[in-house]
Order: sequence, then structure tokens, then C-alpha cells
Amino acid sequence: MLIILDNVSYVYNKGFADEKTALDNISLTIEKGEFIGIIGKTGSGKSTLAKHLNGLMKATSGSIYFEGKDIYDKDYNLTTLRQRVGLVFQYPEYQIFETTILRDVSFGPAMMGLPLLEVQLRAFDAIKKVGISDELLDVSPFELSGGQKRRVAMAGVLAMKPDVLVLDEPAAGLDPKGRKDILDMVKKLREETGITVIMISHSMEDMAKYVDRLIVMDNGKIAFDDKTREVFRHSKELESMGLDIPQVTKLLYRLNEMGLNVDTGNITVEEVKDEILRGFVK
Amino acid sequence: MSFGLLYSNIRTATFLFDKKYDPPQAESFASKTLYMGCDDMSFIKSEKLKFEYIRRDENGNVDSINKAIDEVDLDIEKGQFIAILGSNGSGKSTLAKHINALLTPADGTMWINGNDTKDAEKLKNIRQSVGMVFQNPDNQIIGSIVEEDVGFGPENIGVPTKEIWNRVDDALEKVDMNDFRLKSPNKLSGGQKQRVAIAGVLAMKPQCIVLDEPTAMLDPQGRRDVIDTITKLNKTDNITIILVTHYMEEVVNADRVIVLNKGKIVMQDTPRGIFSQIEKLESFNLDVPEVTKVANMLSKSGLEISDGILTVEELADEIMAAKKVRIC
Repeated sequence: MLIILDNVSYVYNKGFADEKTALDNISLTIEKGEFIGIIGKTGSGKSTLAKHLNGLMKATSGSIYFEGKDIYDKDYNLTTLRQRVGLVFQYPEYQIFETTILRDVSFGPAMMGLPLLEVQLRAFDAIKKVGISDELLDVSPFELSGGQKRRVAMAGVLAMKPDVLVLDEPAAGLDPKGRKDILDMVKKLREETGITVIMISHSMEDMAKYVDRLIVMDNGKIAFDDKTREVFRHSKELESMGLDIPQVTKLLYRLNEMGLNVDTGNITVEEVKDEILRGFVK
Repeated sequence: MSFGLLYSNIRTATFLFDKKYDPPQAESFASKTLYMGCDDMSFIKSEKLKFEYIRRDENGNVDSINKAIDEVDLDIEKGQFIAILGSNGSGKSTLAKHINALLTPADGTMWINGNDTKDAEKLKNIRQSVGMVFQNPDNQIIGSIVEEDVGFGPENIGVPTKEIWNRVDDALEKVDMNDFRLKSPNKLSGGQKQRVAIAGVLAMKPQCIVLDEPTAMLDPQGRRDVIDTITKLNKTDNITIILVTHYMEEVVNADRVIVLNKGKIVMQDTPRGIFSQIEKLESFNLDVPEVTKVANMLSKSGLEISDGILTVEELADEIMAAKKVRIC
């Protein structure tokens, strides 16, 4: 097991009048190579949870283990943990600051104190992985489109060679094509390198298409943690948590109500089409 | 841009320095036909609208010119719900900013309610009749409590106190945020903040609201609430709505969809007409709602399903009807 969260709680402003429990006794295990999605309405604790995974925030109580080691142990090297668990925030393009793409992506590995050659190798490699062309290496990142800038920011994290990639709303604000491109890139990256990916998103459709396991946060607690299609069977509960199910799954529910016998456990466009055609044969 | 300056642009524009309250003149609306190029019906009209972002090098020489809007002709009537789609960089936001004269055309003309946006004297009229809501709710809210934030706009143009409170009550009622009026905006969810931002615009009594990707940062519930709110404002208060968005599902209720690509209008039709052209949309880096995709695939598999299906209910009905035909 790669990451274990054991009864983790986090309380904002503990002891003050506006004390708020953001994480409430979260227990969770994450295996190497998983593609996990986290959903939950605003303020449900998704981002707080993400920031615990690389020790950016310290739990008020409970423990977190990375590869079996307690990250709150006083001898534990948090700097190494932060290289191994790469966190890409929302709108990471706002964190770009260097004059060229190559320099921006090199910043992380350079700060790790690696030799120059290794820094550059890693930067080249990361830039290639996110699908930015070689010709753009010396271009200012600020001349790129929104989607490209976001890739550069992600390359900056990948250049640290993390084992786990935590993405907070990686597709927010992108057009449908940009959205698909960046998520396809993450999927391919995971297939090629075996990196563990944890992705936060508000799009139920993207979750249905990309992640294998879905964790639903509600009020600082884990409401569901299961295979994606199993989670989407709880349509009523999800709606009461301010969430939703994919539009095509709604169609299956509707058809069921109208008397067509179809399985509501289908969540992508292709699956739903096949299921409806099957319903016709029945 | 400083915070204060940005804010004045959004809500009150030129009024900050104009303490005397000057209510909108009914006559000015009635006499719009006097202005050239504007017929009786159109509320927003543009002719050969052009806008360029010009980049210069250190010496001030022109480095490159990016045509953000390229000869766009618009004609939007009062009370319509218009959706604008387009990939990143297609010129959507630039066009939206022309509608309340945050930007003025480099070439061509834009009329709002008969007022030319290049005419500095008309700015006050234009910005009062067209309000804007942006993507990030955190950049648009300044009041320390909700009602104060909503009252900020009218207060700045010198509306009498009693009238401000009436407007605040009315606006909060319309966006269904009355229960939160004494709360601090930073305690609200994204969807609630956006509704407060809409209320802030409503308090200016606009005839039109332009929303630039208002739901991009919201969770599903927040998205539903914001879309329901603007749909209601359009239907019951006859406020003209211009919605810029990346979410295809949000445009199905629009009267008309305008698709922009590289600064030009490339498609303009009802949602049904637009979404029946899947391949064309994909060529502009856009997409159709998932249910439309399923409908299209089913129809290719030989089921009797019409083109341009927009909602789950529609498709379910068509599938059940097709099923009946098959059985008979």
C-alpha cells in the first residue's frame, strides 16, 4: 500500500469561534498505480484532503503513512515526500513565473539540487510527456494558450519525477477539446509510467470516462469510496450532496421509469448506447 | 489593474465620480430609432465589429497583431437568451466585454440600445443597462456582508438610501439569497457567491446581463442554481441574457446559440440546429451534450431518433416511441 490515511481529521481555526472541521476521521488506502477521482461540493474537504497527501497541511489528529512510514514522524523527510507526491493546484498556470518554458519546467528539479544535465534531461522529458513541442522550449510560457500553459505547469511537477500525481480540477476553464486533450494526456501518462493519479473534479462525465475508483466527500467525511460505476448508482444520495450523475446515466434511470429494462450501472456514452440497444433486443 | 479600478469597471464604471443620481430616461429608450444603424427591435447590434490585441516590443514597434474579433455582425433583440460558444481564444470574452463597453471596437460599430459604445457620453447609459458577471466569484465581491455588497453599485451612483434598500431586497429575492443577506460573502459556496454577484448587477436595474463563464469554477449544484437563476431572470423579468460558456448542457435553453471561431461568427442557430451538426462543432474544438451523442449513435445504429436531441427527457421519449414502432 502506497498511502494510508488513518483516522485523519483536520480542524480549521481550532479553538476559535469559527472552528470548522474540514476532514472528519478520514481513513483511506491508496494502492500504487490507481486512478482515483475525488468529488464533493464546494467546502466538502476535497482540496484539504489533497493537501494532506504531500504533507502540505498537517492533520489535527490521525496519521498518514507513505510507503509504510509515518510522515508525521519527526525524522521523516517531508521535502522528499513533496517530490514524490506532486500536487498540481487549480489554475496552475498562474504559478508560472520563468522567462522560458524550459527554465520554468527546470525550476523544480534544479531546486532539488540535481546536476545540471539531469535537470535538463528531466525537463525535456517532462515537456515531451505533456505534449508540448520542442520548438517551444525557449518561448515565454506567457505566450501560450490557456491549455498549453497548464501543460507547462504540469510538466514542472512531472520533472520532479513524482510517484503520485494529485490534480485539483485539471480541466477547469478549458474548452471541450482542451479538456479532453489534457485528461487524455493524464491517462496516457499513467498507462506509460504507472504513476498513481488522484484527480479532483466537478465534472461527473470526466469521472465516468477516466477514473476507476471514486471517492465522494461530504461535509469532511467520505460518503462513498467504490468503483466509479457503483458510486453513480447512488443517484439520490449524490444529488442530496449537491452532486450529480452523468447525463447519460440519467437517461437510463428515466428509461427505467418509463418501463424499458436497462441497467443504470452504465456511465459512458458508448456503454449507454450499447445498453439501450440491448434493451431493445430484450 | 488595481482592485478598486477593476471593481468600478464591473459595476459602476464612470459613475464613481458622478455623485448626482440621474435616473435612466424613459425617453432615451423610446427615441432609439433616432440613432443611425439601429432598428426598432435590436437591443445589441454590431456592424463589422473588429478588435485587435496589439503587442509591441521594447521600442514600441508593433510586434504582432492578434485579431480577437474579426468583422462580427450581431443583432440581438431585447429579452432574448443568447449563448456564446467557442474554444479558448476564440474571442468570446472579448466580444462579451464589448457589450458593456469595457472594450470598444478597433473598427466597426457596436450599439447598445441605440447608443454607440465609442461615444463617451453614452457610457453611463450603456453600463447601467448592461451588467457583467465574470468567472471567478472571488474577484467580484468586495462587501463584508452580502447585502452591503449588493448595495455597492446603486450607492455609487447616488441612489437614495431607501431606494438602495428596496433594490437590495428585490435583487436578493430574485437570486434566492435572502437568507444569507447578513452573512459574510467568504462563507458562501461558489454558486452562492455567483448569485450574490448577479444580485449586485440586478441592483443596478440592468436590461441585459452578460455572464462570462459564470459556472466554470462551480460544483454541480452551484452550476444548476446559477443557470436556473439566469433562466428565471430571462423568463419572468424579461432581462436579456448573454451567456458565454464551455458547458454544452447549459445552452439548451437559449433562444439562439452563436459559435465563435478565430474571432468570426461561424454558426448561429437554435440550440437544436447547432447540436445537430456534431462534426462541424468538433472542428471548432467544441462538443455536444452527452445525451445528444447517444442519440446520434442510436440513430446511426438504425433507431428512429430525430437530429439535435437536447435533453434526457426528449431522448427518453423518442426511444420509447421507437420501441413501440419496433414491437408493432
